Amino acid sequence: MSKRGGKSGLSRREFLRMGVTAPASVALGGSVLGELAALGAESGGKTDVWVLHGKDKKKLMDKCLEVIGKNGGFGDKAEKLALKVNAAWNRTPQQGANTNPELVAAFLAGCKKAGIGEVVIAENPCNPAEQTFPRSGILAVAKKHGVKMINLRSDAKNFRKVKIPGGKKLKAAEVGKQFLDADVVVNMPVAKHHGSAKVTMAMKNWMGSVKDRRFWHRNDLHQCIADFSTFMKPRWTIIDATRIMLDRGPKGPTKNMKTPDLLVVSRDQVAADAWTALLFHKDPYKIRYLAIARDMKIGTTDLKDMAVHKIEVG
Amino acid sequence: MPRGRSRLRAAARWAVRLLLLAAAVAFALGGPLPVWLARLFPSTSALAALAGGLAARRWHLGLLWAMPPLALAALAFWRGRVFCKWICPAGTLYSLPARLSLKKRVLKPRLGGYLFWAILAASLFGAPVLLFLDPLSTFNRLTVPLRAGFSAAWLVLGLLLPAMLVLGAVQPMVWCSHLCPLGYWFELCRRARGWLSRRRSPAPGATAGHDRTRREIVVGLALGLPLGALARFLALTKSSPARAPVLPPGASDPASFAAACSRCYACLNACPRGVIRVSSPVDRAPGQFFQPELDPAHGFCDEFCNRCSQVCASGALAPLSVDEKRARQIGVARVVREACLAWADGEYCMVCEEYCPYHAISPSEDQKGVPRPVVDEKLCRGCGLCQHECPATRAGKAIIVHGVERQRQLDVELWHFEKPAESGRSPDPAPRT
Repeated sequence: MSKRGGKSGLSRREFLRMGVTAPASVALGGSVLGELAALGAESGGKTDVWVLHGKDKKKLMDKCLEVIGKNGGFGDKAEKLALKVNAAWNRTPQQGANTNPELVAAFLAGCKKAGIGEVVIAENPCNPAEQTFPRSGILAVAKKHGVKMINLRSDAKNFRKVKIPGGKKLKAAEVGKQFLDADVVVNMPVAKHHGSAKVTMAMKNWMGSVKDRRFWHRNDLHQCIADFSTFMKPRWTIIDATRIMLDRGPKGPTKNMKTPDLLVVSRDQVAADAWTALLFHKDPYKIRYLAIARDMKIGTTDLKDMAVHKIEVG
Repeated sequence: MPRGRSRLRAAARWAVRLLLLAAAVAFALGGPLPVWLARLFPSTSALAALAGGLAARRWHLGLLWAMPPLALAALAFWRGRVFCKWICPAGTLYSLPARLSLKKRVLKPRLGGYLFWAILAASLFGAPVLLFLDPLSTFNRLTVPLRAGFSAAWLVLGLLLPAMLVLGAVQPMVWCSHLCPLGYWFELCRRARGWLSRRRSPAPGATAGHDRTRREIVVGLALGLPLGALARFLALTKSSPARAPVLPPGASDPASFAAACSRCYACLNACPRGVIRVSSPVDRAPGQFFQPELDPAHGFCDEFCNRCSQVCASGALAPLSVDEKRARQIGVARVVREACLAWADGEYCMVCEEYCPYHAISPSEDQKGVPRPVVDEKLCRGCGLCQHECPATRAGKAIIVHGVERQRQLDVELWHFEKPAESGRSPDPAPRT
């Protein structure tokens, strides 16, 4: 444990070393060299995954937005953006059950700069919204930036039924219409331990966009998580791994926390999940929905097929 | 101009009464109002305060909450039934149709005094069984359908006030003049003043009031003592229900709660999660008739809420701080393995564990690594969130909360939000979604 990184934090040196000590299959190549290499990297048909490390949440997100801007941005006609955070639990930012509000704040500020006309945050929370929205800290930053935070459960009309042609178990779902009608969708989950899913990151975060989660639990949860990812493909996925719960998830609180200080960014949420899973388990396929995603070829799960760009944000 | 003045006075009185009636409805419904307002009207009843205190054998009112009944008793000492004529929201309702009434006397004897003494006598046995006749409790009950919808269980006690309104159309204000035990209390205070003044200057016929009061006390005791003993026995009668009742936090043991509760349902109205309901008498001891209970089919007991315990006027629920509530075991969840998605069907579920605010559920993995829920009864508070969220449908809910023999404070460590100010006070969650 380095002195700089604190008790459970990840120092710059450790962060860079992760590439060396990770399984041999992890192709890191020149990306370890830092930002320049990262941003200009020849991906060679591989899936880009950016891994940003730093203590300062605002700088982290600013760098993330820079990466996004240089890699296609939010698309040409991005007027309306729907953001899926995790604001499901009646817990505080430090407890790591919800997406870090500082990241959300910096993201919303960046959206304005990028010329997005309207951002909407929609969520079907687990605990009552009037508790989770303020306690997560996200309601305050949304208000500050003039962004509407919608409790999907407040009105049945918020949901629209869609078919999921690629689904095996989940063949249809009622989904928050904000995510269906937006020009661009961004997924910004928090990574944390989860009782039944083992780890929850980007793919599982979409459970907070549908009306009937219970169906998923009754009909092979892991398969349903994978099925929904065949349908819902956000333009960008930004996984908050600034602080992660290692047990007692998804609600916490737990004393068993780590502060990796990472953002994991990709156009492919499956790849982002597969990389982030390494923070929790040596073998990401122990998380069944990732194994299913691999078998169904929903996205990149194998680290060999990823171009991982590590960026130190100082 | 005495006539003009009396008219003005009547108009002023009606303005005050209607205003207080509107306030009583608003306070009973609560909503975004501070929770103590819900207790304001029911707690003015000296009857509930006395009977509740006698029944629980402890004085449950703090100095502040003892003030309204004391002040009203003092007022009655000088001015008689001022409360009835100016404040009581039930009295206001009863006097609305008084002028249109048929004005026939169908009920001749005044029974309020017998009822008053019977209730107090019964409370000596810890079972003020007729306390639901308290007019403020009766009035408070009226608002329940607005919060929880109509239910058959509510109808029985809930229709007391409408029934008295109908009776009032025959004999004007029959409840207030002939039946009300609280009205009798004010009458008694007034009589006490009469006795004191007559002692100083004895007048002929001064003992008539004494005789009447003595009769009321004797008959009241003769009715109340066996009634209380019977009610206590019936409340204690061990029925073996399929599911022991889960009582609102602050109740002690089921028998004491059943006996002391005035069925005003202020706790039900105060609950932001809609989990407190009027219970069905099926599968309950007779003494537990229509008591408020938690039914997780409708909601759950919120981790950071103590509102129900704060509004109880009869002392059936002891007031708890939010932290005391969080550590209080009001029930215990039990997994129904045959119905459980994990235990019976091998699904990855664990929704109960996911939602449990107290980490009282932990996984036990099968050979394939599918986690199955196990409840730690030393940590479970019985809040019912697991039951409420359980997604199982094939054979009903797979986790059910059962009541405990006696609620107790668990020796557990609590975590806190950054603002320590919340530890002692209710965060006043908004009305349920």
